[in-house]
Amino acid sequence: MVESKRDFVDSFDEVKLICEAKGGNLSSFEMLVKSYQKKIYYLAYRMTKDHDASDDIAQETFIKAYYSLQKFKEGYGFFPWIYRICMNLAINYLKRQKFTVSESEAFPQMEKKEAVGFDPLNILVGEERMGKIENAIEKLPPPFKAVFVLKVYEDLSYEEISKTLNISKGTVMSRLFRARERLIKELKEVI
Amino acid sequence: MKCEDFDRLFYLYYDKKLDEEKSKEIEAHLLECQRCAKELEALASVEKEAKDIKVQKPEDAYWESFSQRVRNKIILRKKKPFGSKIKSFFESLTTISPSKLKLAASLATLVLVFIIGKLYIDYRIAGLERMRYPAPSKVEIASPQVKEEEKKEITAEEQKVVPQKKIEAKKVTKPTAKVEELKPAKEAGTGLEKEIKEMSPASKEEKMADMMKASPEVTTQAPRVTAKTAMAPKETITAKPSEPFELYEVAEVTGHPPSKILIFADSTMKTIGYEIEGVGKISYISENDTLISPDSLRKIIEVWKNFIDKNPKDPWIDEGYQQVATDYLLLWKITKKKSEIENGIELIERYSKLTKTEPVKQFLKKTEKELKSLKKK
Repeated sequence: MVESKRDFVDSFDEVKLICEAKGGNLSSFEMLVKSYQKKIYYLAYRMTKDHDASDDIAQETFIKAYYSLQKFKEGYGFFPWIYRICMNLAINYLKRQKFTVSESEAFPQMEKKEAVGFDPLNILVGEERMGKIENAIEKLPPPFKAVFVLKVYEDLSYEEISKTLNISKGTVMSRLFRARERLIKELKEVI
Repeated sequence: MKCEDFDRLFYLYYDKKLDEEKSKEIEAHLLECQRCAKELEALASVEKEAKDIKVQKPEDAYWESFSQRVRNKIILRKKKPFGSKIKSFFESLTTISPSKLKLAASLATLVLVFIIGKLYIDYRIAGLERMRYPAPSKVEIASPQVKEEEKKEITAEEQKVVPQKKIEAKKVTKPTAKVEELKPAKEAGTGLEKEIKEMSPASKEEKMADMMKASPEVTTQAPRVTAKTAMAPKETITAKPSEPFELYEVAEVTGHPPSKILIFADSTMKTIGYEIEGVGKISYISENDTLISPDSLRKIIEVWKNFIDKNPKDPWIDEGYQQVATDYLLLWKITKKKSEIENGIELIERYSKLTKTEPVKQFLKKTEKELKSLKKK
């Protein structure tokens, strides 16, 4: 089955499954879902840091893909296609989230006190540092974050990111530049 | 290499996107510059630690059921009745999302800008109109009683001839007047009319000369002609009243192709003047307008003659024929010059052959006959 990490060219099996799914065969589509479910879920998780949101986004990605299969052209890569769907959903989710206040934002002091009470000092220092990095990544604007996640966690090349997000290579480079610049600026005290 | 160049290139170096030569330059700079070395180290550290951030891994059961849940949702959506799709669409409309807020705000701004723009343009146009037609004024020499009598006469006779059906009253912003505003002018006119009536012919002339002095463009008007004046600048051959007066409602010509004449009517749809393209505005003349000066009348005749010659297919040419006939009749009444009446008879005869409108033809023949009989007398 299709398990290679960055398979931008569909394998023979995958093309066959896609053709069958296009014809309305749900079992074939289910096979495709099984192949990519983890990648899609973790991609969504890297973006949202929330299990429920990632679950929703991952499922919605496959549902959208199924209903848009007729528009998909074989040979163009199923993997970057569903990656793109997932990233768009995740970016939209994050944009919506900007207008809601998270619990940690609403009660930052309370959370901190709880953490101090339960963790030994040495673990705390490491976790605090990690937490700050995580926070800094989370604060990135969604389009910057998307490029950063695809580059750092998915290890995609500039070209692959460009295909996945449907943006130019130059835009990929500039967004990555800005994302890294922000992170370093934000984490100056920690690193 | 300078630190500025390094700042610009070190991300590409880190991603191994630089060629060998540039990479060596960067490496040489890193050996020399501690600040830049630290910066590169910071980037590497951030990305390495970011990769180490623990991800909450769902249990195996979650993965086992994932594809099944997706499948179920797909089937559920397939079966979703059309009504519920519409319902969900309207629900999505009622829920406020940032994008919807942005869209709504932009639309509201657009509408607001449009309204303000429209109001501003209207305001400017109104201002220009006021500049173009400043403080109109009029000498109303008609008494209300006389007017009423005339109305009856006209409805009985002239309306048969004038193709009133072609006039569609259309209130236009151009002339700004309302009939109510006329009342004081009418009252003033009544007094003036009495004064003139009581005068001897010589005194009448003196009075008229005084009026001309007061307003150079003033010509006397019979009651029927409710002066048009301030609307027409230099080219206007018309009475120029000296008292404030605003009246016009414009009746636009409905002929096709669009006529070169605009007909002005008062609120009772009585024609009071014309605007001829390329000429200007002239008064409507009735056979009772005996107070008009012969020169003004001759000019008006010339205007109509030119219009008729130049626009033989104009839908309102009949208006011109009738006006010329009326003007000649009036000219005879005022001047009693045979030479002029002969020209008039000849012209009216020609026009009665040209017109294709039966009532107009009859009117012209009747006038021609009248002129001929007057000539004999």
